[in-house]
Amino acid sequence: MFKLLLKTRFSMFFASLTQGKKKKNKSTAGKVLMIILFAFVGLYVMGAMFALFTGMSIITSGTDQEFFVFSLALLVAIALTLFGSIFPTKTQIFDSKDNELLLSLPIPPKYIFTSRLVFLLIINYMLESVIMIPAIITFGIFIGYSLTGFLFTVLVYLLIPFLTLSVSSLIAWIVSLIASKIKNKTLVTVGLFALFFGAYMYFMGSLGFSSGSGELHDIDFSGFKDVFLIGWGANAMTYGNGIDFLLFLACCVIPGALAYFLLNRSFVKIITTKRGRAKTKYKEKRENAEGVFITLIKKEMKRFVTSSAYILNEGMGILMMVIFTVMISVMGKDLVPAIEGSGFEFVVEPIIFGLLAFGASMIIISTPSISLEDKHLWILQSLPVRGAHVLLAKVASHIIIGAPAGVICSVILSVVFKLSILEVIVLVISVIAITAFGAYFGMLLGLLFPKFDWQNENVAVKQGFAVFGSMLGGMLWAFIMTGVVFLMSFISFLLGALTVTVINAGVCVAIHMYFLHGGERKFALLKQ
Amino acid sequence: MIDIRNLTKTYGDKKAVDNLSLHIGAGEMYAFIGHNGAGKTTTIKSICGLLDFDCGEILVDGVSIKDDPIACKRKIAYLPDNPDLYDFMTGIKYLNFIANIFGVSREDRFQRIKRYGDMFEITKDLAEPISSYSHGMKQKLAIISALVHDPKVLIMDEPFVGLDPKATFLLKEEMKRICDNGGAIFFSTHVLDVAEKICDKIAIIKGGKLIRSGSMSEIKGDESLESVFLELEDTNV
Repeated sequence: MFKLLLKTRFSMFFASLTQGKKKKNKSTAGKVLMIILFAFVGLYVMGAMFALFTGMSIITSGTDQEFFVFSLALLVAIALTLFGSIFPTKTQIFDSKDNELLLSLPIPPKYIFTSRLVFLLIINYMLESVIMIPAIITFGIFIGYSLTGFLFTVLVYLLIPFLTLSVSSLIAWIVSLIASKIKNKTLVTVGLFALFFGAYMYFMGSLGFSSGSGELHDIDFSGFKDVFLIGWGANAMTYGNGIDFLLFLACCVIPGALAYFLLNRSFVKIITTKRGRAKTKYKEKRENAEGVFITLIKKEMKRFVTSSAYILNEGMGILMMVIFTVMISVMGKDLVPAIEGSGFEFVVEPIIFGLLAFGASMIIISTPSISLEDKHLWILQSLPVRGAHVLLAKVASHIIIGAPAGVICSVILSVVFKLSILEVIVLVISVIAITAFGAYFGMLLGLLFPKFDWQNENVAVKQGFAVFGSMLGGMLWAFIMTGVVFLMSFISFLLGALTVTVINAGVCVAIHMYFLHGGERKFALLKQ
Repeated sequence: MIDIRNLTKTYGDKKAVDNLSLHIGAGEMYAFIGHNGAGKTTTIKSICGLLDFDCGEILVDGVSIKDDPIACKRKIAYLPDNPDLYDFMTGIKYLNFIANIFGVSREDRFQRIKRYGDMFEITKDLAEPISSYSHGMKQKLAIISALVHDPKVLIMDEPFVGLDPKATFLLKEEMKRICDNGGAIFFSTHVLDVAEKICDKIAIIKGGKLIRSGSMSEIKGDESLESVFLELEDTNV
C-alpha cells in the first residue's frame, strides 16, 4: 500500500511535467525539450558550483581554513533545500487535493503523510546534490579527505535532506495549524514566511569575514568555524571530528523525530478541521459603479493579494528590492566616504540601477495570471470585454503592485548616495520602465505558454515555461540593461538611463500593439 | 433574437455540430435536448462567443457574434453547466464585478442584488468568500450574476443541476417573466418534464445534427416528450 501511494505521488509529479494542455501528453519533442531544459539548468548550476568550490579549495588549501569549502556548501545546500521544500511540504502534506479521497479509503493516515515525506525527501536529495556533489569532488581533488572525514562527509550528505525536510515539516505544521483556525490564511502564511526569511537574512548577515591585506589568501573565514550547525557539519567533514558530527546528527534527528511525532498525532485533525471563525454578515449598501478597465485591474490585484503562493513566488522581487535598499542604506555610512574621491563614483548609479533592475526582474506577477484563470476563463471570455483589455489590466496590475517598491527604493538609495534631483528622476523613470518591461514580457509569455493542467495553484505560479522563461529572461534583460547603463556611464549616467528607458518603452509599445490585435485573438481562442 | 445558420464545428475529424440552423425569437423559451456528447454545449458556447466555429453564422439581435462579439455579449447572459466562479472574491464582490462590466447603475444593481439575493435566499451569505460556498450556492450566485444586468437573451447549459426544488421553481418563474417581457431563453436540459412544462419550443440534437425542432405541440403531439425523445434517439439519423 505504501509503495502504491509513493508511486501515485511520483505519477502525479511526472504527469505535471509531461502533460501539456488539456491533460494530453506532451509531444516527444516537447518532452525532449523539457529534459534538455532541466538538464541545462542542472548542469549550469553544477558547473557554477564546481567553479566556485574549485576556487575556494585552491584558496583555502594549506591555510587551516579548508573547512570553509564545506561551510559554504552546507550554507547554500541547506538554504536551497529549505527554501525549495518549505512550500511544497505544506502543499503536499496538508493542502493536497487528494487528502479527502485518501482519508475516505482504508489507508492508515501515517502511510499517507509518510509517502509524501519520502517523495519530498527524494526531491530534496536532487536539489542538494547540485550543490554538495561539486563541493565533495573538488574538496577530494584539491584538499583530500581523512578516512573518518570522508565517512562523515557521506553521512552529512545523506542527513541534510532529512534536516531540511524536518524543519520545513515543522514550519508547515505550525502554519497549517494556525491557518486552520483563523480567517486570513494568506496573511499568516506571508507573515510567517517573511519572518523566516528575515531570520535567515539576519543569520547570513551575522556571518562575517575580513581581509587584513586585501589578498584572497589572507581572508579570515574563522567566523564560520563556530557557526551553529554549519560549523559542526563542516568540521566533521573536513577534519573527521566525531563530536561535531554527533552535534550535527542531533540537529537532524531531534527535529526529525519531533516533526514525525507531531504529524502522526495531528495530521488527520489539521486537514479535517474547518475554520473556526465567525461568519461575515452582509450589510446591504449601494456600491458605486466603476469602469470596466478599473474593475479588471481590481480583480487582478485581489487575485494577487489573496494567494500566499502568488505573493511569495511572483512578488519576491519586491522583497529583494527592500532588502537591497535596507542593506545598502545601512552600509551607506561606510560606503559613501569610501567611494567619494576614489575615482569610482561613476559606478554608483549603474550599481543602484542594476540592483533595482535585478529586483524588478524577479517580479513576475503578470506571467502566471492567464494560467491562474484556468477554470474561470469562461467568465472573461463570455463577458462583453475586449481580450486586449483583459491582458492590459493584468499588465497594469503588475506595474501598480511592482513599481512603487522600485520608486521608493530608488529615492532612498538616491538620498543615501546623494544623487542630483535630475539623476533621481531619471533613475525612477528607468526603474519604472524596466518594471513595465517585466509586466509586458511576462504577460506575453503567459499568453503564449499558459499552463492549464494544474491541480494546485502552486504549479501554476511556480512551474511551466512561461514562469521559467519570464524569470530567466527578465534577469538576462536586467543584466543587459545594466551593462548598457554601465558602459554609457563613462559618458553620462543620465544618457545611459534614458537609453534603457527608451529601449524598454519601445519593447513595451511593440508588445502592447500585439496585445491589441494578435494577442486579443490568441486570448479568445485559449482553451479551445 | 438568436439566429443560428448552418453552424458547423469540428474537433479534429469529429463533427461536434453539423450544419445546425435554429431561430429563437423574442419572447420564446427554447429547450435544447440531446444525449451526452450530442453537441449541446458546443452549440451553446458558440452562441456565447466562447468557441470559434468553422462554418455558419450566429446572429444575436441581428449582430454577428463573429463580427462584433462584444455587442452580442452585452445582450447575453450565459450560465454554464458547472459555474466555476472566482473563489478569491466574496459573493457581493463578484456580483459587483459583473455589474461593473455590464455598466449597471448603482441603484439598479442594488435593487436587483437585493431582489434576487432575497429570492434565492443567499443575501446573508454575500459577504462570505465564494470558496466557502456549497455547489448549490455557487449555482444560485451564478444565476443572480446572469440576471443582475437584466439580459435580453439568456443562454443556459443545464441550469437546474444542483439547485434545490425551491430554487428550481423560482428560476422557472424568473425565466417565464423574462420571456413575458420580450426576452429570449435558450437552455439545454436533461430534465424533460421541465422542458415540457415551461418551454414554447424545443430542439433535439443527435450526433451534432438537429433532428427535430419546432413548437412543443408540433414535436410531441399527444405523446409525452420523453417517449418522443427516446423514439428519436433509437432512430438512425
